[in-house]
Amino acid sequence: MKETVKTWLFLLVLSLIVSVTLTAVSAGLKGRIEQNLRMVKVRSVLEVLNVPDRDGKTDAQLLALYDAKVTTPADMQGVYVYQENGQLEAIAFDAVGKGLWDTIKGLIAVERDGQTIRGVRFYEQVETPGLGGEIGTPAFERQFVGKKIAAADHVLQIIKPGVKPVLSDTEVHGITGATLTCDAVNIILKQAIERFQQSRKGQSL
Amino acid sequence: MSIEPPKTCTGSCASCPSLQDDLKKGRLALRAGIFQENPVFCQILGVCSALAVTSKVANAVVMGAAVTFTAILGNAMIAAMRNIIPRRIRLMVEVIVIAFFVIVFDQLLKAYWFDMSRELGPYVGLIITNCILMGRAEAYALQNRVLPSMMDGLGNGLGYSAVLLIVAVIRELSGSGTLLAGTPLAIILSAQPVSSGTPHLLRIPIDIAPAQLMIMAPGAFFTIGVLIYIFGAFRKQEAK
Repeated sequence: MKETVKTWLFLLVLSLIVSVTLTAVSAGLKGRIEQNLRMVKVRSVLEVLNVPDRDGKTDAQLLALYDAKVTTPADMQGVYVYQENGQLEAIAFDAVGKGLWDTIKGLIAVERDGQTIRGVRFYEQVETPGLGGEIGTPAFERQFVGKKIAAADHVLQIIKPGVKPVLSDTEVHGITGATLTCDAVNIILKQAIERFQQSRKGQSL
Repeated sequence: MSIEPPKTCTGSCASCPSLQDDLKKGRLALRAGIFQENPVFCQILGVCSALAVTSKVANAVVMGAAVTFTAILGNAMIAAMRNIIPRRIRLMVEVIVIAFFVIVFDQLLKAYWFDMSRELGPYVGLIITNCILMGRAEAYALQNRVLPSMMDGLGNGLGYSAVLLIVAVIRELSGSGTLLAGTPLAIILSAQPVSSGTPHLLRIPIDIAPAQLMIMAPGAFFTIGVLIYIFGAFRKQEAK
């Protein structure tokens, strides 16, 4: 009996100490971590929109740049409009969905025409490092530049390398060994593009 | 089941271990962890993460640091409590202690090296299930004083890191044709503009296609398997 009480007491005290310490650590670092998450988004939006003068800037300067050039229309969720002296330069929109392991968060930017891709960026993903994780590399993302988000009957998609000798305006190469990730990205692209086209109907943008 | 009363050391009694004894014992444990009893090569522990995070050298280094950090501090805390931990729940206590340090490391990484934290994804959290840590807590820290236990943790952490590093160098070089891609060190040393792709220390000439198999899971199996064989053969030779 005495033994049992001792055991419970030990567990209680240990758990208490550990949880209080962890709460303190978490509370202490929360601000920094949230700031990091916010900066990832801000940096990604600036990158995908290819806003100039963003190299070598501190976080605060980047935030100022973001606030000055990028607006988010209240009636269009997840859309980022880049204007230069009141002139529309480019539009970016969120492309978020389920990946192979966890949520993939990305952005697609289009030029003034609303069709030609200015950039694609997958800024948050935990796909298999070295395989599906390659969707986050510049080499993969660069392929999208200059392509179109949609043709007459289909939207932008990733296809297996080697299947087609010549890629059309709405196709980019996938990653060998990462078919499931590429399938997931295709669904994300399709949904994001369709939502974007839908939300633009009747808008002046 | 009785709890062993804490040993009280007062003055210089011959049966009480001194700092010198602790250091001597710790040095032995340190060396054993790296060489004779290397956790991955000899005990075949922690292999799952050794397979998972070794496609890039940078990831392997940080992962090794995380395991070493947890092994040292986890061992220390368990050794400090070894006389009051109720035997029946000692495994539970070990898991709590290990999980505690892993979460602290994970949070620190998220706050101060966010990119690496994103790169490693779930693997830092999965250190909690790494058999090396519980193995060392159970086999060493529960029976030994704090200082030797910490050195044992350091030895095993370094032994694990060394294996990860060897495997990662082989895999990144042959599988991606780069070394240390995407690290601050590579950014500084290679001095190439960030826009020209992920910075790396070394790139194999472009006309040699990298062996993609090496960064996939089978590549890790082959590499570790061959290394365990070579290491085992050396040990056998030495034993003769």
